[in-house]
Amino acid sequence: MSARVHGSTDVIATTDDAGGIDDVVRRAQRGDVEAFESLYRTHAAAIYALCRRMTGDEGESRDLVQDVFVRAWERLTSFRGQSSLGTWLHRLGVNVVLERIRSTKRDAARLIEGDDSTFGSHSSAPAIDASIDLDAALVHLPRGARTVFVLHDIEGYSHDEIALMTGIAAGTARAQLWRARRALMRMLDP
Amino acid sequence: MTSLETHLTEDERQSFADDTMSPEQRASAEAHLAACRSCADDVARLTTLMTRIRETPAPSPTVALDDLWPTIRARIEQSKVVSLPADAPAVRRLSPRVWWFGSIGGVAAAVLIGMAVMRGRPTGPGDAVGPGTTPNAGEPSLIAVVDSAHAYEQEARILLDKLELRRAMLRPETAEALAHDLHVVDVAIAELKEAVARDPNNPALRRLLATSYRQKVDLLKRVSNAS
Amino acid sequence: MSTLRTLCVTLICFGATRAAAQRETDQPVLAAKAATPTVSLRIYNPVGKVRVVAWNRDSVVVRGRVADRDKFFFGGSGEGMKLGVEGPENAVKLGVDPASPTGLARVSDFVVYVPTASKVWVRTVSASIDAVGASGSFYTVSGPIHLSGTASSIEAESMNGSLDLDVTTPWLRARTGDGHLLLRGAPQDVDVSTISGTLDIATTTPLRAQFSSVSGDIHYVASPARGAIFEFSNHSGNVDMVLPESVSGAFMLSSITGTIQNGFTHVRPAASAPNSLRLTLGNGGSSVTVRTYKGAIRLRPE
Repeated sequence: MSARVHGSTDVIATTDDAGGIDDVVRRAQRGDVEAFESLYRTHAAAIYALCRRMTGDEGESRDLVQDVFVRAWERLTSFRGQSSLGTWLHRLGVNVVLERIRSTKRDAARLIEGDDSTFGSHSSAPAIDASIDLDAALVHLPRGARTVFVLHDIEGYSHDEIALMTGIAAGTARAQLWRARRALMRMLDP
Repeated sequence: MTSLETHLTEDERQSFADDTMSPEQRASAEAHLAACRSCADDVARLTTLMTRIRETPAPSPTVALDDLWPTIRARIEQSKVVSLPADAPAVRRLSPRVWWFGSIGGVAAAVLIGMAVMRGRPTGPGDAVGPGTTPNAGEPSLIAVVDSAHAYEQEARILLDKLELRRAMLRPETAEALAHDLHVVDVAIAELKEAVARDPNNPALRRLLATSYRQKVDLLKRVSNAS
Repeated sequence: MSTLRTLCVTLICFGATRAAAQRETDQPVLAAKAATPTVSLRIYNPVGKVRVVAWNRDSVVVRGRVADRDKFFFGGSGEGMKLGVEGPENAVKLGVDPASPTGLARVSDFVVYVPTASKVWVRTVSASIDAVGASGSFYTVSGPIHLSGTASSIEAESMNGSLDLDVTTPWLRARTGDGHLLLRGAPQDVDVSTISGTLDIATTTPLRAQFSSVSGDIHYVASPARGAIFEFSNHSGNVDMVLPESVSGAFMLSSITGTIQNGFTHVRPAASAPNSLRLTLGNGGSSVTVRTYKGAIRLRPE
């Protein structure tokens, strides 16, 4: 076995991307953790906001932020630059949160459709201080309705996209959304 | 759709408020709202909600998200695929000095090795640093691998404790397979710790050790999955 | 002699009678439930066979046979379901296989048809697992696992059973102890590991992969894809790579005390130390790192 040095042996980067992948992402895809850290610092706040609104819980949101970015690291090579990285991360984040919701035994069999049957009736929503803000009110929504509301009205997904992500029918998603809006109206403007 | 005798449906009110109605339907709805106070008030409240949603800023965490990065990094390092850096230091030849330990199994050897390597460092149980030497503090990937090995070691201890509670429930063949696999991994870990003690700045050794710990944790989790 | 013949015939008849009695007391199972396309499904069967087949219908159908005195259950709603076999103790305990009245092994075999986008979670003790096009988590203590088809993600684990993974999936994770792990198909992101079992890799599609063992040998017979990043790690087992002459990759091989054999002798390697070898083949379009403690590393052309 020869011990002579022969030229440069730098790793050649992945080159099968579309024109939309910037250098930092490319380096992260190649295993550069420092590059990935800079992506984390850019996008962590948005992912946290998504998790916080979908779960209503600070502690769970922090756990989910970690899960999202660990999953993003694992799947980064599948990002081809056809959307922005933020959009890609966002979609991945929604999937991670929905998986967490499904894995909770109590809610597994009633992810969206099985919300409390009294939810939505005018007598069921608690009277809340008029000064409550939107995020505080979201916490009081049943999980399924909160999920649909956040995905549609805050994150901008369509009913069809929500149906695909959550596995519920688009019509059911619409009904849940309306009930969520009505409940929020009662809480925010009693 | 509607007339003055009937009100807007829920679908129509919601679609009007979030602006997803078709232009034709919207024109018809506007005509109704101009004449129906009840529907107009309700739609106004819905529209106010839509505005409030748009204007509400994203929630901020109570603790800085920067604090989460070290944990994320440790989890990434546990599964990281890395290449040797271009300027990786040369692997030192093994010292002619041979460390002898009692032949009472890999666990006992690991304990003795752990005690020996900790002599040179006043703090940090689990830091496998040789006496009189310290890892290159300027090498972040080395530090990260040390962190992940330490994290795995702790996780393995916790899982072993939990396993003790379940041993009686294991079928004999499963217990035997587990014992065999644990022995294989523990022997590997012991050998690697010994090597790291002699050459603490060797990133390849460190990564091999972290990988072996990861395999041990995976093995213990597999047993947990069995029950 | 005739006494011996009589005895043999008697024993054969007795065995056949017992087998027939076993079959007669087995319970046939045929059940179906409507399900959402993304239903989560948990499947349990301690001993026998479980086969999972993905299909393009929004329903879950089970058919098969359940051993005498075992209870078949199938519950849940469209979004989350659970089905499988329980012993009379109403719990599937690891390692507990109550004997049937006939003294024969209690074996339940069934096939489960699941929606293509569903996620399954299969658990057995020694029952074999065979899945086609199903995504999810497959676990057995000692039974073999064979997965094929296209899946969205795969996790397969066994204490000491063999794993034959011939799947197309963006993400795959597999573990076994001393079972044999064979990786084929077209997975993209791969993390597979054995303790002392042999690991055979015969797929060219992974873009990012970790292959590891502690004392089992690793055999790679394929070619890394362009842009792939691989890491091989072995403590005392060997890493043997058989590559085509046209392979393209930057190979970084290191072993603390093991030997490194390079069969691409027409390429002048770079070496940073006596215990490591750096080699660029072709235009270096992939990155392969191999580390062992004392296992041998061999790079050979096909």
